[in-house]
Amino acid sequence: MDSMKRYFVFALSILLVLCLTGCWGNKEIEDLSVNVGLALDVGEESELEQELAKEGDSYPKKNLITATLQTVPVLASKNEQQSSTSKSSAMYLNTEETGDSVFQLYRQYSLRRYRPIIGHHLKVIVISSELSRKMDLEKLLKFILRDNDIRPSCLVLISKGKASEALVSSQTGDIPSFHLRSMVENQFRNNKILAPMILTKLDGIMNSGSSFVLQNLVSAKGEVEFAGAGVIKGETNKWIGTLNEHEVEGLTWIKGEIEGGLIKTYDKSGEVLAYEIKSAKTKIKTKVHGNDISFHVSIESDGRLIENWDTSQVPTDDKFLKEAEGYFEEELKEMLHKTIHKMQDVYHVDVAGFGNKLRIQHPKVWKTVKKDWDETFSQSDITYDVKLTITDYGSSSK
Amino acid sequence: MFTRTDDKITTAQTVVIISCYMLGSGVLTLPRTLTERVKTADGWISLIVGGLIVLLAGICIVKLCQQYPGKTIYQFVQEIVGSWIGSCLSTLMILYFVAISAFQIRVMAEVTKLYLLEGTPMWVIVMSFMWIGLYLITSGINSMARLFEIILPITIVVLLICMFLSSEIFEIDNIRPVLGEGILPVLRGLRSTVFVFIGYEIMFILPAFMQHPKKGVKAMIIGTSIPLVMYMITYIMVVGALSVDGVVRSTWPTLDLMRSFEITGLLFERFEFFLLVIWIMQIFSTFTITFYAASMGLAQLSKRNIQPIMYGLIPIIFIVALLPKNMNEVFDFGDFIGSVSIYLFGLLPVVLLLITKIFKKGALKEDG
Repeated sequence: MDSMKRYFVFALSILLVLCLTGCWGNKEIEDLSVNVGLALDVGEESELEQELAKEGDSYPKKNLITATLQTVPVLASKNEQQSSTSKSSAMYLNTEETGDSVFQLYRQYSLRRYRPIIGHHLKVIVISSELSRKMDLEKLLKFILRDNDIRPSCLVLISKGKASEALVSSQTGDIPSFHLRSMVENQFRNNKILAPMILTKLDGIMNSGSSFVLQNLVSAKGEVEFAGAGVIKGETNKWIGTLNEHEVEGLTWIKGEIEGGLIKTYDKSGEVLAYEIKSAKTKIKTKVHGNDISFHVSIESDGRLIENWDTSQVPTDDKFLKEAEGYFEEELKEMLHKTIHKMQDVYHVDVAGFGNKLRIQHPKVWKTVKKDWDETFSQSDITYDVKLTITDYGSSSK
Repeated sequence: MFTRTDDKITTAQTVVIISCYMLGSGVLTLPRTLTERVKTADGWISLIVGGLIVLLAGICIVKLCQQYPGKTIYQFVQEIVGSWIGSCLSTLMILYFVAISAFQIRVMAEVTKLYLLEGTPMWVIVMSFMWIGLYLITSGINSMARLFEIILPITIVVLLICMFLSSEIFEIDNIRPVLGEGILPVLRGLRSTVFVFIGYEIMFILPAFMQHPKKGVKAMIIGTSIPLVMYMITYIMVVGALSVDGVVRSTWPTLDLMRSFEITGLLFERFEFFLLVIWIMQIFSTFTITFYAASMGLAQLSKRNIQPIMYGLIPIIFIVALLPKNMNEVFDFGDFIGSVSIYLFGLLPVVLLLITKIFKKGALKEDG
């Protein structure tokens, strides 16, 4: 009887061995394609795809979107086919797929590459302005927002030219997606960079129906640059135009998103003057009189006189400092004027968050004007005053 | 009958049990369910008001139980309303506890499947969870209380850290204006706050185990305040980051908040797994308490030993947990439980208390 029991315990413990297999469903990270970037363009089959299609790669689809999936790592193996856009020395692999459903395009990937794609590390999505002019952003991003692997911390950018070109780099060892992701962090160096628009925020904005801007990219010869912003109309979630770099500067001032940067202008003799922003504060006050809604923007900033080409003027002279402040204020007002003009008269959209201020300061009024806000905004009066103070002139006093 | 004389809990343990019961799966969906109703960012005020209402109901329960020292609701309800209605009420409560434990386990399994263990069959997750829960509750309320004493501080610290780290995507404008549309939105939200405060009804049972039942009200107040503060912080941080329009679109907004940022240079870069793992412990505590409350109800109602009943409940909870066919049914199930809770534990204690006060049943007899 006792030996029976021992046999039984022994048999049971052998069963336990089954539990020791650990993660039998594991996948080595080297054997996965880690999707780090996604570019969405207007559907146009690449040469390779056309040839593949000729050989028999076809399924029911409309060629609306061309998705470029950027994956890492690239193995040294020569067997792996690489698409025309990536060079053999590159650290990344760009795969183009054309079709309609973004999800299907992701799954089509597995028909061409043996390493399965995973979305956990998707850093950046670039959408071409051409595509977003034609298609609702929500349609393009629905899959991305729903997927349980892709994180909503992913960054969304617009590109003036082809989006796939923004995911190319001529520098060896550089992974364009990481590059773009990190470049957004440079906000403290340049106020032409907008606060990062991550999927989480974008989802909320798209649902609220208000218009917004996304950082714009331009690319040439394998170099990518942040240049201005793409304007997305809230009603349709479609691209309607761009703000240039100067207007984006004005926009960051209005939005109060300044973390650093500069104002450059010229004095009366045409010499360069530059102001380094140390702190900036923006206040927007809304006023409601019956049907008239008006805004007053007041900006206060402290900074440093960092460059003046007219060496006959010395910053130890208070008069010169006052004069310089005047030039900078003039330039900033000019900037604000251009930005507001572009929003109100050219695009008829509010992308600077005036509506948000109205919502907070006059919730009841906001409810009534919410629906047609972009139009109402275009008719409203906006005044501004700026006060720049030069607090110091760095380590050179003469 | 299964009542061990040494199986008593301190006042602090009572607090911990109440808090652990309240902090359950609700926090994962709270910002959405609340905002869907409130439609502004004023949900945190609803939480305060909701918390106070729940507290009142809870105090009624405690007062009621204090009239019958050493007895649980299952034992004294028959003395108040007679054995027929009493048994019916007890049965309802047992069903309710079974439903909650099944719901908690299902939500836990759904979230785990989505974010942690994609590909693991649902029944494996549910089963392992249930067996461990069973192991815990077989040794009585004292062991449970001690485990919760370990879990609760960890939960609070982790939640606070996670919420604090999310401050980089927090925008104060998203939770302004306060009361921009008046008090009405706040009242609309009250109903969905009740669900996250489910747990006060455990005071129908706990005073019987307390060393100092007189301190029941104090325990109730502290036990409710801890979750209230946690919920408010969570709500404000989630809505502040996702905005009112964003939060209503997210299935699991609290997890989406965690998924919306990465911290480089810290020990962990992604915090949703961290929060989720901790939160599974919290769901576990809710599950075990309700499981225990249900088995005890059955044991006291049928006057049998509690152990076999615990084993017997396992398949029932398992089946109920797997009943909802999709996410919509899961959420509907949750709503249903919430409504039942309002009627069963919002009104019942007041009615019972009135009956005892008016007819002077029970209390005097018991004292004498």
